[in-house]
Amino acid sequence: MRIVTGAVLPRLRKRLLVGLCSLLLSLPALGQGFSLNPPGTCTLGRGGTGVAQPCADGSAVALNPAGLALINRLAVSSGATLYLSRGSFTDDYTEQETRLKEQPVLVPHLFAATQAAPDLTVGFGAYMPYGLELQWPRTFEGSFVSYRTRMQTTYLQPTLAYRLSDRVMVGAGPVLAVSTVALWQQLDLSQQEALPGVPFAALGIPVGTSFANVKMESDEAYGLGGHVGMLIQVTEQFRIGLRYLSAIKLNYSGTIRFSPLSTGIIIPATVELSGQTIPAGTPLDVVLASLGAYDRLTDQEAETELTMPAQFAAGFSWQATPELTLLFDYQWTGWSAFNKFTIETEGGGSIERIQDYRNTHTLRTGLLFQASPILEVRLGYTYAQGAAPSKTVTPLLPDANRNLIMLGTGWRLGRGVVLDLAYQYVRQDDRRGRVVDPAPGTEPTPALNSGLYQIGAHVASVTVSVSL
Amino acid sequence: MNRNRWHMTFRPLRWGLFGLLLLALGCQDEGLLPPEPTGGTLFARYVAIGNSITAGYQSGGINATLQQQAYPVLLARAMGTPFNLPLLRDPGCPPPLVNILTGERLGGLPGDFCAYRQVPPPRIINNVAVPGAKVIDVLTNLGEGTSANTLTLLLLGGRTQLEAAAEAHPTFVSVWIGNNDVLGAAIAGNTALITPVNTFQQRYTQMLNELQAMGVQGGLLIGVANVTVIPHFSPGIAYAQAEQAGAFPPTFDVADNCATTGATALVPFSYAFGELLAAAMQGQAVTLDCVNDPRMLSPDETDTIVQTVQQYNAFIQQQADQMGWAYLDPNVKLLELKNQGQIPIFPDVNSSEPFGPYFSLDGVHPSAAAHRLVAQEAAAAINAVYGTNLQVQ
Repeated sequence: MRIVTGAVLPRLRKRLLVGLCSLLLSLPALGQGFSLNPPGTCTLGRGGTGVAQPCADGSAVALNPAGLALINRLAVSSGATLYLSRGSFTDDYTEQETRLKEQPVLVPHLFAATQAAPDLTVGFGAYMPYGLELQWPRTFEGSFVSYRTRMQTTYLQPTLAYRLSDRVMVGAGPVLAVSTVALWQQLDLSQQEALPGVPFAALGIPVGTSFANVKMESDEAYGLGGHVGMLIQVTEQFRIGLRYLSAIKLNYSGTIRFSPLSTGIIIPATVELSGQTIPAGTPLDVVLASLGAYDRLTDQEAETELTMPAQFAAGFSWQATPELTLLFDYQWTGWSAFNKFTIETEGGGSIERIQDYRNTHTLRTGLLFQASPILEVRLGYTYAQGAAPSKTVTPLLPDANRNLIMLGTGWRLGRGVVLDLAYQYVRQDDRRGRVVDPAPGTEPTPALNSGLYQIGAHVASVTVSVSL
Repeated sequence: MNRNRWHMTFRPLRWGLFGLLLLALGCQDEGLLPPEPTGGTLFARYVAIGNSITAGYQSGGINATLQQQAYPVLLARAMGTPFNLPLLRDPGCPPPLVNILTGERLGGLPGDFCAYRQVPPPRIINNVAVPGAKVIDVLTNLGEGTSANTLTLLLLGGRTQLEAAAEAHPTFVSVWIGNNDVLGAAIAGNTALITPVNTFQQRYTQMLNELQAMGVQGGLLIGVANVTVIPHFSPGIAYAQAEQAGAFPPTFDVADNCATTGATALVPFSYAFGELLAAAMQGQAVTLDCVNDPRMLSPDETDTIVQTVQQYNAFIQQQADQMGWAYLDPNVKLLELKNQGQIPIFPDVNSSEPFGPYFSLDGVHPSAAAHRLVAQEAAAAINAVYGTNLQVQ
């Protein structure tokens, strides 16, 4: 699909959109699948909770659109989150560890809301519920599956919230998703055909002989969805909240680019191949060129489709004492929509990756302590179930169950200015995974798993919010 | 806020934080690591370096069946460790001989036939041995004195044995290399082709240094076989007796010197049968001369080869002792078999085992039974040094 949405957007508005999205840089996956933490420093510090009691910084746009109705003035917040993920794969057999490339990534976020009428609040948020960037060294044995993956999906969400009564608030907003996806991998010569029906592996070329680099990169894709929420003030101290974020299907078009790589192999003895005498000492690259192997590596247009999964969340908040509030959220995410990843090339070929993700459940708890009129201390814990089944834990996304602990503070500086700080430690369960794809036409199985993925991360966030 | 109030209000937070830390850090992931080798962690990754014997070559050919009969496969089984082979497709590359007189090979295919490798191949190869390899071939594929061949490409993809071994990050290695540093000279009857002892030592040392640099924790060095004992070589007198017994056609003449001055000269089977007898069968008159034919191995030349092998092995054993590795001298068992009559002086061409039960149809390479013997001897040598209990069935 070509970018139909792009055709209906005025050019200037599209440029603004693209510029805004470019502020939201790529980052490692720190939620389940390729989902990210609920956005905002305040929310991060309290364990990602807030469906029943969103922060007052406008991030209710993402946490629960109905929560905007709690804002009775202009609120603007802007900040950034620093992600430092680290991880490794340890091969079962060689016991060699390959580490993820560690690169700190700064991700800005932006929310705004204002009361438009006594019971009506309008808001806007730009946030990234789904995103991923993982980079392994090119020498990684899994580089033939992927050595770098990047997916950025930004949700732009104008929102209206309305107070139906003293106890009930609702909110909703359309979501425009702007997304790009890119995948880097190497081609394994051993799997390519040398002679009709004879792969190079049959001629002795070792598994994992890279002979070309492949970069598959999409243009921006656009999709539409919606986000609705409701808040019910049950008692003065107890409130419940619900929200639903629809799935958004994105159709990407892009280009597959090939760059030849030297195999570094020298033919050790004079051999006959396809009627040709190849003298000892000939570089294999010369043989490949004479066989036309590099001629097949022409850049191609390609298309793919991804669905950003739906989310349903419910939670409550309980103000136990004037200083202490407890929060609890449950979230269901429809990861079963990510069952496969298919890239269709212009020549009619296709590359298919079975994913078979399963729907997941996430539990979040938070604790807010008003230490003084100007200082709120936050604490949180999240358990996020991994979405990937055992057969699809790969370098593309070595998913697993995660435990996250968070600490945060909100410090009222005066004149409606609040400084939020948060820290998160992510401990993903170690998980066995694979570094090879199944043979063409066969399903992946856990029997292909050959090592252990160990992933963790440190996250720090800061936001300044202003209420006028 | 006074100090007490801070203390009282933060107390629940402290306990909460402690609980969260326990939740996040206390989880122990179990069942994630692969099982250890039953023979012990020393054998976690075993790599075999060598030549045709270690690769599993028998009867002038090699295929998957023969590769799986090789002694390192049996040793790895005793170690309980994974052992991947670069398996060749049937009938082989080349297919093994099925008849030593006619030269017929498995599948009726010619000697230059190659069925390539089985796919998909293993990512790591544990048996990196290549037929024809000398010590220098373990180090490099190209250059003077090397003997890389089609199987070097097919089995290792153009890597050297050391390069392929390094990819397995071996914890234990066995090395049986050096036979071809003398065998070629013996078959050609030309001792000038022997790798000089000091050159051999220099290359062998370099190989061991590179293996140690890989982090190898232990190993087994197997000495060079006394190639003059193998049934591929028969004394001239045996040919004279065979002629008297009417074993040869009239066009095949055995010179009188084979029964007298050349009685102890060693005649290579590949020359006498493979070249002379083959020509005689075609009607060409040929003579086997045990004294004047340079292809014969004279007693002096035999002595030179035997002494060279002894010098090689003294050095190999010294290296093993210095490194605390196991050492196996194959010639003890080889001579024992010879003395027991298990290695025939002259091939019985009418038998299914013309070179006896311990040698295959080329008279050079051990049979499956001999590989089992080698594996048992190797296990005993390893057990003696490392206190292990490897049992080869």
